[in-house]
Amino acid sequence: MSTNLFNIYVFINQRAQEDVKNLHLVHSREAFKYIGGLLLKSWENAGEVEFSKWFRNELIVPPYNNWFIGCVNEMFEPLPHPDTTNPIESFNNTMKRFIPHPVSMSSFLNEKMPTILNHCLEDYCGVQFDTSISQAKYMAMNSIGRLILEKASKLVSMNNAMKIPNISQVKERSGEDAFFLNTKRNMVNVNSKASNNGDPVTPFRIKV
Amino acid sequence: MTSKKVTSREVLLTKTDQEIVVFKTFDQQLQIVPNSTPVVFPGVIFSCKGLLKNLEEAISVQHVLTMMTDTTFKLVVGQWVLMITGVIDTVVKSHGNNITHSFRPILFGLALSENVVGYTALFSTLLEIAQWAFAIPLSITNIVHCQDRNDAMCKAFQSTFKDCKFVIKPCIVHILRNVRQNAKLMVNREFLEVR
Repeated sequence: MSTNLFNIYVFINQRAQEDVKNLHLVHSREAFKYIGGLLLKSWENAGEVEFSKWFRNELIVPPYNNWFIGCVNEMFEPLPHPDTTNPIESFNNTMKRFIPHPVSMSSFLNEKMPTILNHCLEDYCGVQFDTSISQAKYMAMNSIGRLILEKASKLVSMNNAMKIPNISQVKERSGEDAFFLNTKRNMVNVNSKASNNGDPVTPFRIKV
Repeated sequence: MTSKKVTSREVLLTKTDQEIVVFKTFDQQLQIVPNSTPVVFPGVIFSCKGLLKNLEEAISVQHVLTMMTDTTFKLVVGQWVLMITGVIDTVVKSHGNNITHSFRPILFGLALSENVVGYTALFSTLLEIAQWAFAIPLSITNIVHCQDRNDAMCKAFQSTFKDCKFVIKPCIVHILRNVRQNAKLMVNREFLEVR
């Protein structure tokens, strides 16, 4: 029983999802055909004729029948090929971050596209940043990184006045301040000398 | 964008790495009112000189070119879509149990929709560039193409690379999503409660 407000009922047939996930793990085309046939038959026996017909036409028959793990290895030498299009989707996400809403064609080609191309040329597409130095370089050199840096500096300047306390810091203090809670609602103004620190934040309270 | 179409190596060498270079233009015919003369809209395939290094590296290093193509919406006002094609690092970087491939874009294209004409122009440009853009002409023979089960893309890919050996690999995440969307075809639906 769920107790929260967001009870969403979704009409997923869980068995179908799991069957498709298992069929993806097959290592040869013969096994794919055999197990796929069994799958379709079992769905038909369960009364899902229309769904199994759709599945056969879309995902068992060419051209979209190469989605199991062993499909590349039967044609080429084994190589680490991706199962998903996640790399390109993450690149799309990067572009969307920089162009959050549609722009006109002229500004897209003259302003936005050159920055995206520079971003690509600096070799930062999909690269995981390991060291602090490479991260700092990325932040300083790259235009999109610079945006993040500006955001971060803004956040820091805001947080100078309004500070979220840590429980670990609170524990070391004297007894009278020990009632601080590390939640989002209990923000504390460090600079104020009021004794009622730790009260819930209201618009009135933020102005203080 | 004031640059003209570039179709030879000599002209390409005069450009800088960051400058936008147009490789191909194509016409898309859009029939707004049925049984009327279609309106012709231009489309364009572009990139820059620096990004072609990705193609050169990929063809010379990978014995099977691992390509990935997708389209992004809502970047330009109107119905314009941005087509992107590129290659994947097959060098696997593993972080614990996760395996990551990084994407290297090569060509961009602006078209009115995800149509066969636009994708054919995109893929044929890639095939032609491999021939003339580098000091040694490189030929594409083996391809693994990862895509999101788009019919226009699939048809354009099959017609363009018909002389090559290729595998079109649909994305498993999109397949699972399509299965979930087509669960409406099912008679006996098991209802799941999602918290």
